[in-house]
Parts: sequence; structure tokens; C-alpha cells
Amino acid sequence: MELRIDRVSKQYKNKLAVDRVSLDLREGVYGLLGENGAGKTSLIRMICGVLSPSSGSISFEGLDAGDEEYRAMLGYLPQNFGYYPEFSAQDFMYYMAGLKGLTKAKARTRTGELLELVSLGDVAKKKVKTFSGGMKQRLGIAQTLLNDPKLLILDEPTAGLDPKERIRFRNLISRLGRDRIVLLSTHIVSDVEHIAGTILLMKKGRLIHQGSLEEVTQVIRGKVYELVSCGERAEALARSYSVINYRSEGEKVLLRFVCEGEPPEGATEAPAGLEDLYLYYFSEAEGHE
Amino acid sequence: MNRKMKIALKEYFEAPKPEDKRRFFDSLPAEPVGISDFLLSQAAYIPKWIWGLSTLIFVLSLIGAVYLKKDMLWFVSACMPLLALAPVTESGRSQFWGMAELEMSSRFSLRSVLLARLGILGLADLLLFFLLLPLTHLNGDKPLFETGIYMLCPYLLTAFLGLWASRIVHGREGAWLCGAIALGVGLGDALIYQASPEFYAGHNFPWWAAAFVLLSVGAAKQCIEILKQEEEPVWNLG
Repeated sequence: MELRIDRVSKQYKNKLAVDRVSLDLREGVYGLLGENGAGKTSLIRMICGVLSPSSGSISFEGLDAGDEEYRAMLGYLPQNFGYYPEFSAQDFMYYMAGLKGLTKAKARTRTGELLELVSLGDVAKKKVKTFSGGMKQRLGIAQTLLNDPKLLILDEPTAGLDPKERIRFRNLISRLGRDRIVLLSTHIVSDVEHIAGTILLMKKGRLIHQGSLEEVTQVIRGKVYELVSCGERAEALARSYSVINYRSEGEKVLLRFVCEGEPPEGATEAPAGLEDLYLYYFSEAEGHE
Repeated sequence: MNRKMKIALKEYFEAPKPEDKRRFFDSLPAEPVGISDFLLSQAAYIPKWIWGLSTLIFVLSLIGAVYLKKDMLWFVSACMPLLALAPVTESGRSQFWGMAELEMSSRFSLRSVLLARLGILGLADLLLFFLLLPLTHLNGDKPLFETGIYMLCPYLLTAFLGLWASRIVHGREGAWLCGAIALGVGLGDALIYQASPEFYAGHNFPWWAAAFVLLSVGAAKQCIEILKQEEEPVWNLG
């Protein structure tokens, strides 16, 4: 099982949204991270065959992303999706099952199972327009699994979910990644940190890092420091370094920052995490590529 | 095996619980869903107001056939743009309700959905047209063929303008614009018929026939453009 993305670019007039991205993905969970406008959604839409690339190719098991057979193996949750106003949760699932080519009998079975899985079984016959944001998101996740996809693409899947639901879905996504390719795009760094075996970091349309958590945080290891200081000194340090966290603790301030050279007096080295890396690359102080 | 034996077996032998039942069923090759099944399934997702409107036009035409006697054509041809409104609004429905991206990434993609729905609505409108045509002809003074052309021109004009508008203006505004076009064409047709009936006289028929051909080509072209716009063609340049 292999998803091959070969030198894919997407250009909108004079803006290059995705710039020659190449990737080979096998079974597992992949976390796609990047700030707004980094090109994540454009890349995801191209993988799902919704957008055509300006150049390059995408194939899964030898099938082009424009093929019907390719789409038959795909489960996709877009960042924003709607529903026809007359739809109940069950109608929505039946409709999507029909588009995915499931028979009526199979659609009924899968709909029942999946609505239970996302805890919407008791509201299956209720109109989607009466659902909360989290319920709609859960319904969106359920429809991706109707055809038991080999390639599961989730754009901001945990947006709008409460912390308990988020953790439940994180675990579900993790389980799904055992025997399929799951590509997860999100701003919630902790989601990626917890479940993604491979992290893909995008900036300005380019893939700047890819690898395990250990590998991608290597760049910043030994450069993250913490320091407790009085307010004035903390302010001065904040102007000199890329600050990852600034937390007031009574009279004092706990500063977490990235320092490339000699650290200031009193600073202690802290273990680097994905959030540190994310903020290092995407904070106001840019230029780290 | 006789019935007694079956009962005895049930009594003395407890069948083991199935193991991996789910995996077994999953391993069976899925029954393929053909394009015809898919087309039929899409009929159920066409909004009810569309079928209601078609029925209403037919019923009103039947009533008109009884009461308006010789003056049916203006009424039926003024109703035809409302019939055209159905496929026009259907063409932008996925975008309007935010379903387009989900539909585009499914096995039967947005293009198939649109083709299916436009095809079903087109057939339904054609059926209604063939039901209305003899009624209108029998209650009018024009030849059958001419009557058909007079009825179809407002339909095609609405389809052409509506499809063009829905490609340019999206969302709620687009839907309102299409509605305004249908109403405008319908009212305009009725007013012209009432004000200048000679416009529908036989000597002007070649102009109507030419308009019919041009509008047919134009509406078909707009349909193709809509399908192209809704889904980018099969791609991969690599």
C-alpha cells in the first residue's frame, strides 16, 4: 500500500500554494502541520482529486488520483462541509454511502455501526441542522469510514470537538492507522504529537521537514530554554529571543524560548517538543527553514 | 433432512458462536453498484418542491385547458421557464449547501451526481412537455410543431440564462438571480403574447425556429461548462 506524491505543485495565478512536494506514504498515521496558508488544504485537495495539480502526479496503488477506483478507496473529511437541509444523520450517511457505491443493505449496516461508533446512534433520525458543531464533525468523521477506506484524509478532524471527544477520536484515528494510510491535517499540535508516526511540516507551500517526532524535533534540541525572571528582564529577553511561552507566576515570569547561541544567565535547557518546533518555525520571528 | 431430525439436532447440539463473522463477510466480494442503480438512487434526492412545481403546472394547465379554451399557449409557455428553473437550481445545489467537496471526492463524483440529476429532471420536463403539448395544441390555433417551438423557446432561454448566471454568481445570490430570470422570462412571454399576438403569427415562425436552435445549442453549451466547472477533468500531468 503506497501513496506516491511526485513533485506536485499548485499555482493560483501568481501564487504558488504548493511547491514541488514529493512524498511516499505507507500504512500509518501522518500528521500534516503548518500555519494558515502553508498549502496544507491545497495539498490535501489534490490528494483527494478535488483539485488538479499544476504539475506533478499523485497515485495510490498505481491508480491516478482522478480515477474512480482511486476515489473508491478514499475517505475524506474536508475542513468545511455542509449538508442538504432536509437530511437527517441517517439520510446523510445513506446519501454518502450511495455516492461511495455501497449497496443499500451494506449502507444500512455500516450507517448503524458508524453512527454508534461516533455516539450519534440515538439521534440518527434527527435533522443535521439541529446538531451542534461537534455532532456535525462526528458525523463527518463517520461518513469517511463508510467504504472502509484504505486512504483516509482528515482535514482538521478534531475541530469543534470537546477534549473528551478529541481524545476518543485521536485513539480511533490511531487504531485506523494500523492497516491504512491516514493523513491528518490540523493546527492542534498535541493531536499530531500523540498519534502521528510521521510528522510533515509545511511552510509557504514547501515540505520543510518530515520524520518521526524524534527526528523532526532534532532541529531544535538543545536550543529550548526556560528561565524564571522578574518582569522587566523577561520583557528584555522576549525582545531578543524567539519566545515559545510567556507565563506570569505571581511577581515572576516563566519564559520558554529558543536560543541558538549562548543562553542567558540562569536559563536551563528544556526538552524540546513538537509545539516548540511549530512555534519556532511559525512564530513572528521567522526565517528558520 | 426431515423436520424431526432438525429439532433433535437443535436440542442436543449447540452450534458454536461464529468467529470472525465480520471479517468473513468483509472478505466476500462486494456486489457492484452499477451506474443505472446510481442514477435511480439520485431521483430520491431531488427536492420535493421540484416535483410539486411540475405537478402544479400540469394541473393548472389541465384546468386552463378546460376554462381558457382557445387561449392556452400564453399560459403554458409562461409556465415553461418555471419548469426550467428546476434543473438550473439543481446545477448549483451542491455548491450552495457545501456538499460539493464531499461529492467530488466520492466514487460517483459530483459530475456523475450532476449528470444524473440534470438527466432525470430533463427527462421529467420532457415528459411533461409531451403531456402539455397536445393539450396546448388542441386549445389553440397554431400547428402542433409551431406550438412546441413556442413552448420550448422560453424554457431554453431560461435554461441558457440561468445556467450562465449560476456559473458566474454563486450561493444565495445566484439562486435568487435564477429565480428572477425565470420569472422575468415567464412574465415577459405572457405580456408579449397579450400585447402583440402577431409576434406568435406564422410569418414570424422562422425567427422562432432560429431562436430555438440557437438557444438549444447555448443551453447545451452552458450545461457542459457547468460540468467542467464543477469538476476539473481527469488530470495528472506527470
